[in-house]
Amino acid sequence: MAFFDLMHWIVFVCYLAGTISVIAGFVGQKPSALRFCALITGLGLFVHTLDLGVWLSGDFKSAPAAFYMSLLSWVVLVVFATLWRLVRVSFLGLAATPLAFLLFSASFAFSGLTVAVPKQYATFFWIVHIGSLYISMGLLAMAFGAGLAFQYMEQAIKSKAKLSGFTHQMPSLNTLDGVNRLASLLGFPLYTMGLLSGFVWSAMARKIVFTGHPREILALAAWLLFAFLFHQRFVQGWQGKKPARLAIWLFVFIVGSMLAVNWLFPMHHSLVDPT
Amino acid sequence: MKHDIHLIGLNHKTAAVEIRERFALSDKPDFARTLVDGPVSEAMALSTCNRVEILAVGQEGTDIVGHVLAHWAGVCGQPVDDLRSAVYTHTNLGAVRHIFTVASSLDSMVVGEPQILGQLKDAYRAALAQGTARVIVNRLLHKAFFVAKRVRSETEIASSAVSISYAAVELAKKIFGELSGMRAMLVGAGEMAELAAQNLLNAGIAHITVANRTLARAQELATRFKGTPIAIEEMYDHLPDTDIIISSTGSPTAVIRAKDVREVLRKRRNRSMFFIDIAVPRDIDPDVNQLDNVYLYDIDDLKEVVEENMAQRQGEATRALTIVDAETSGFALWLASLDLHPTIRDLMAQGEDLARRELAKTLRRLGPDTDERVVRCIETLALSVAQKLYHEPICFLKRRAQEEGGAEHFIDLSRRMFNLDSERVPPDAHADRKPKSIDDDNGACASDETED
Repeated sequence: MAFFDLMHWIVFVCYLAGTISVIAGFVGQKPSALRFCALITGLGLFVHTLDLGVWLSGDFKSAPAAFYMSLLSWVVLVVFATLWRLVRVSFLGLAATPLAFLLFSASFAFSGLTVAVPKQYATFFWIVHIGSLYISMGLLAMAFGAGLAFQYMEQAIKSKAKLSGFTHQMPSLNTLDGVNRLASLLGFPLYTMGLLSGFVWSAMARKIVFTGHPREILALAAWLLFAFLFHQRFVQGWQGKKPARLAIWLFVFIVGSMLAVNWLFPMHHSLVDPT
Repeated sequence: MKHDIHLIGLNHKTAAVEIRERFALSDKPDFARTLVDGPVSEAMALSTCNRVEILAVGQEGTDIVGHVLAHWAGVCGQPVDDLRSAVYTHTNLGAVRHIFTVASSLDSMVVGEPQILGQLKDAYRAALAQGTARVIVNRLLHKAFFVAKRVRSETEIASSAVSISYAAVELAKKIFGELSGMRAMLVGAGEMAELAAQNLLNAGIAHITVANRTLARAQELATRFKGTPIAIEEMYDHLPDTDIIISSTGSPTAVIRAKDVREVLRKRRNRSMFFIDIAVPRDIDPDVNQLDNVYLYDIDDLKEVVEENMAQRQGEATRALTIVDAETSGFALWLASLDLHPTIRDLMAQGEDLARRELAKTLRRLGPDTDERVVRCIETLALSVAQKLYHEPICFLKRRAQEEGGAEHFIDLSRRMFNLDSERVPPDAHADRKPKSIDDDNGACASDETED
């Protein structure tokens, strides 16, 4: 087995172990499992960073589709780690670790495909378009996890259910709402920047801004939903349940469109071979 | 000399409050010092509103219980027969188990309440100050604090609220997280509402507004809580700035209505609000709970939370008792080791073990070709050095064993000095030298483990 493949498998095993231990830690209320999760996922993230570094040091302009999935899973964990530093919500690990594991596992399925980034403006395009979109998706993933937790916790408090065991460990409603607020505040401008950079690149490289491809239409639809969330949150003063619910749907919509539409409608950055 | 440990006591289960009052020792701080006489060599007295207990250690086979009861009744000026009919007694491991159970709050009226551990620590400090806590009481109490810590960290015995006012605070924390910076309003002035307000203040709430029909009463309460008094008619003007509302007026109809709260929410841009309705009949329209970002708990909801938490604590108590039993068995081993012979045997075994380990290392370094005669010589040398090294301490212990009452102290000291029980020692093992550290028992190893 080549060293490169070995790193993949190490990351896979670490994220798998992290996923199992984070579930055992929160659902089974085992603090030792949570400590193990932090350790093993941290190790996985370290190896994953090296793995991506190896990839980036090569010709990323013709990187396999697996690279993009792998990068997204890395971004999800990095965004989680950053949020943890900011608001200390370790509970979001319950969303971040399994999601990172699923995305990384999915990257194995695309290892044979190559996504060719056109040579013109490749570096700039790649950094701005992919970077800002992925970070906003990582933030949305956290808002998705926080939203689900908010719905569950709010329902428990409203219905006067017993707050013990799993619920007892959950952060407060205000903390979960704070994650949604942060994700909206940072995520929407980043998502906007990601889309704009894509259109600008398209205009410069292909002399066309908007092709009418379903991927572009759905990306704009997602942007409108995101804009609605941003507006309601910061202009209309939405808090709590409504933005939580909207963030869940928005994340499902974006991930769904990214996977399904890319699969069904091959294009320049599709996950299936357009040829 | 062999010792017996006795625990003689009365508590809320065995004696009515009238009896507990008559035999209370809280105003008799010298009780343990005056008890240590004749058959009793060590003692400690614990006196709280729910229990009075005497821990006494004395020579095996003597009538320690009789001596304690006579002294106790005498100090309190009460007939000994009244005391005899109300007390329970535990001996040796029974006493050890009981102390562990009390320290872990498994014998308390409200299982899991934390005060008893503090009271036990105070009683131990008093015994230390009076010099009535020696080898056995010292060890027993430190172990009891360790067991209490284990029970609290390994079970959920104290994780949930068991009083209405505290349950309200816990719920507020689940909604708002940190309560510092939050603002509360007390509407009306029921006793339980005041208690909830006090608990909120203790939890760090920033400000309390007191709204009451009688402004004088509002002023009185506001002074107590360092808050702002307002007339109840001004309540809606202040609600947009209020996060937690505790209501307990005597009004026969709802004081706070859903449609008004909707307007308040709009003004505070949908920030969460928590309403605690302790009044009967209720002060707050139940429909308030249907509004987004608004949470309403009435007295029955809070009672239900408390009852569920109580049931959970009882379940956790069963788990906690297995910890107590395991630690009692561990303590039994230590008690047995206070005889001289097991300590001599353990010292020799430790010496031989050490010698053999070092021998193995040396032989590995010398390599497989070492002459058999040389190997035997080194082996003899190592074992001989170990035996001779332990010879003088063993002779010292044997001499001390001839002296009345002196052996246990030195045996215990030797066992700890040579770590014969392979145990982890909490850093606060010497509360007599570091009194503050009794409170933060964390079971870590301390390198300065010595005792005089």
